[in-house]
Parts: sequence; C-alpha cells; structure tokens
Amino acid sequence: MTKDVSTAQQNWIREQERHRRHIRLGRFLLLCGFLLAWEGSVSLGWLNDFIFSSPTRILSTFVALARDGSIFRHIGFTLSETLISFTLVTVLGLAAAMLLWRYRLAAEILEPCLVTLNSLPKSALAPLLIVWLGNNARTIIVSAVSIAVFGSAVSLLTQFREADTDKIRLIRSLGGGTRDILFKVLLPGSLPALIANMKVNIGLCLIGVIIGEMLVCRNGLGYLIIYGSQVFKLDYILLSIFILCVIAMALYRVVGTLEKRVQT
Amino acid sequence: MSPILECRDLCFSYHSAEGETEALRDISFTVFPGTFTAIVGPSGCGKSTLLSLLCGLIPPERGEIISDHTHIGYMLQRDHLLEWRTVYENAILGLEMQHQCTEENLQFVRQMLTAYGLADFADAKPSALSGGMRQRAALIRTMAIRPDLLLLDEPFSALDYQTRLEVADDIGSLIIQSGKTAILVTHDLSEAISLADRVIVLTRRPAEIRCILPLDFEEERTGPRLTSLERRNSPSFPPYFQRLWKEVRHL
Repeated sequence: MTKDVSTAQQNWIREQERHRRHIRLGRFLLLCGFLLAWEGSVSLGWLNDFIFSSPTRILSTFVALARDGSIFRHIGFTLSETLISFTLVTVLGLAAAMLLWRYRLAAEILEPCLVTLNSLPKSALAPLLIVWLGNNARTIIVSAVSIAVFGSAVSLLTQFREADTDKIRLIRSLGGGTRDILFKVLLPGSLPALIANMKVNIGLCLIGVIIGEMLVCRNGLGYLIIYGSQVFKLDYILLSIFILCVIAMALYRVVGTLEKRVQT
Repeated sequence: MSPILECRDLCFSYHSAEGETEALRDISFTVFPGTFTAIVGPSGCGKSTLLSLLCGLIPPERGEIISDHTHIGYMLQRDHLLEWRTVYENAILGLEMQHQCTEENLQFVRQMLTAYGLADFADAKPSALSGGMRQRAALIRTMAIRPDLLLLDEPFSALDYQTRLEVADDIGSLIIQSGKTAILVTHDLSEAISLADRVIVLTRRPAEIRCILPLDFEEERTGPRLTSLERRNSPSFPPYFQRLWKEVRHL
C-alpha cells in the first residue's frame, strides 16, 4: 500500500499526525500547568489549602478513601444510578416520541404539558420525590430520568415530524402501513439525531443523579460532596468533582464511540 | 378490452386556514392495458395530486376512480432510496412490507438487478450509484411488487439533461418491453411525445383536461415501436411538438 502513496500524500499524512501530536501535547501541558500552579500557589502560601485543597491533598484523600474501599462504593453507586437512568431515559423518551407521533391528537392535547414539564426546573421536584418514593436510590433514578426524558421525547418527536413526506408517500404507495413508516423510515433515519440526543442525555442524567444523591444523602459522589461541605472537609468535595469530571468524560466517549460505529 | 383504470369527474381541493385551493376539476379519462399515457401541464397545476388520487394515497372529494384489483406501482420524482439499506434491500422494500418475500419474488428482483446492470452494486449503499443507476434501482423497487399499472411522477426531472435523455430512453424501453401500462406525469413536452401513446394536456389550476392528443408515428405502423431517442429523430416529432406547444402556450 505504502508504495502507491505519493510523496505529497505522505507529507499530508505526516502533517496531520504532527497536528494531532501538538493537540495531545498541548492538552497534557495545560493539565500539568494547572496542577502545578495549584500545588505551587498552595505551597507558597498564596492559597489556603484548607479551603482550596491541593492536588497532593486530593490524591492522599483518594488513597485514604480507597484503603477502606468507600470511594469505590460511592463511584459504583453514582455510575450505576447514572447508567440505569440513562437507559430508562433512552427507552422511555423513544417510546414516548413514537406514541406521540402515532397518536397526533393526543400529542396536540398533551403539548402544553410536555412544554411545561420540559422547561420546569426538575430539581424543584426532588424534595417531593423523596417524600413520595422514600429516601433511596429509586428517588435518585426518578429525579434523573425526569430531568432528561421530556426534552428527549420532544426533540425526537420533532425529528420524526420533520421526516421527508415523500418518503412516507413512497412507503404508502408500496403498500406499507404506519408501522412500516415508523420502523423502516423514521427510526433508521433518526439514528444520528437519536445518538446526538443520547450525548445530551448522558450529561443530564449525571446531573440528576448528583442532585438526587445530595438530597437522599446516603451513598454516591453527590452524598460525598454534601458530607464534605457539612464537616468542612473540602478535600472530599474537590476529589468528588475531579472524579465526576473523569466519569463525565468517559461516558461521553462511550456514546461518541457508538456514534462512530453507527456512521461507518 | 376492459379498461385497467377509469376516472370520472374527479375533483380535489386543498384546504388551509387561508382558504380553499381548487386543484382538480372534473377530470375524466380511461386507461386501457398496455398503453402509455402522458399527462402534461404547467408546473403546479395539480399533476402530482392527480397521481396521488389514482394511487389511492388521498381520496377524491368528488368523482370516482374505478380500478378494480389493479396493483399500482408509484415512481416518485426523486428516487428516495433509503441510504441505510443496500441497493438490494431497497429493491425488496415493497415485497418486505407486503410480506411477499417468496423465493420466486426475490429471484425476480435479482434477475432485474442483473438485467438493469446493477448486479455488482446489489450489496452497495445507494450513495455509490450514479443518478441514472439510482433511478433504475427505484424502478426495480416499483416493479418488484409486479404492478399492473405504473404511475411515474416526473421520474427524470431530478437528473441532468444528458442523463435524463439516456434514462428516459432506458427506462421507457424497459417499461414498454415489459408490456406494462403506464401513466407518466411531466412538464417536458418532448419527453411526453418521445414515450407515450397519447398525451393528456391539463390547464392551469384548477386543472381541467384541455385536450387529449393521440400520438401516431408512421414508422411504428409497419415496424416495431421506436425508442425514445428514435422518436425524437422521427419526422412526425416536430409537428406533435408544435401542436402541444400551442396547446400549452395558450392556457
């Protein structure tokens, strides 16, 4: 293969690789610079490490919490609750969009409800959910689902409605029914939109889970943040935030990989 | 011979909050098996609406369409091949939805793919096909359900001029050879003359039938039917064009 590639093409590829190397290096330096500046200003006394913590303090907190396994338990809770609510949001959002597309009258009747529920700050519901559903993981999952599911259903429904009417005519002229329109044209045609939707939802679910954990206050990184603030161990809060950054990045990457696989 | 389709006094209007738009008024004509009818008229006159009515996609407001047990195949302006399906999967779409994926029918589709020069692309995605090939794939998709009557809604208008002449010649011959009955809607007068047995001229909206012009090529009385390109070169072609041009211009 390499024999067939022209010098200009090889140069272009080399240029592209150099560009990517620069991006990687730049990101690495940015992270190092940030951590060094933080650590340095704490050790020089410019920042108070009791309230600003420091990279080394976060690391030692992590080691301490890892020794008794509690940090992994918290991560496990947050992660599993996020994944469960994300799955529920994807399934329920898609199902709701399909039903609302199918039953147009119902969709039009329900439109004000959907708009209200979509723009309502769902964190306002959380205290109610605790009373109704109890101080447990169920409340956390329901609050996370409620944050993302309405927006997801509305945007998928819009996507379905924007489908090419000629494609629908085509299906009808070939003797297909509503089911065929949905499963042969709308769903496969909306796959890119569905995945873009999932990218948004994974972040929203994480937000919902943290809000839920802060209120339920038993397990998870949201709990650790509240606990840290109440006993004034800000190391706990910053450690949790750092771990959340890693989780958010990883989950986004997973959906991104899925997107690439679908596109090819 | 009994007609394959007959429409009597078809009327249709579109309704919106701004008011009523009358699209078709008292359209009546009869189509006999094995004939090729072209419908011409100014753009926006309701030609596509007429095909949607004939196909049963929308019911007429008044009048009736008599097409007992006629299997209708509809070819739209653009090919509308589904990008996420291979060419073969697109071709069997109609069979799949009518639950008629029998070995015999699938064999028929594969034969058509070979006959229409698409066998090598059967497992490719439609994006790999040229405009003309896409239109042929769309024709196979329509033919796979073995329609008795083909409705063609400006099926070549999305193609560039040269491809358009080639594809019209190509697909026109395929339809005529297969002995299918066809109704072609177009705003291209020469396309209508080069393909059809008769031309129905519609007026501006609300569309009424202005005249029905039968086409008779001298060469075809003695010899075989001319292809679309041969007809364009026939001495009978310019007079028909003049005639239709006059009809359309004075609308």
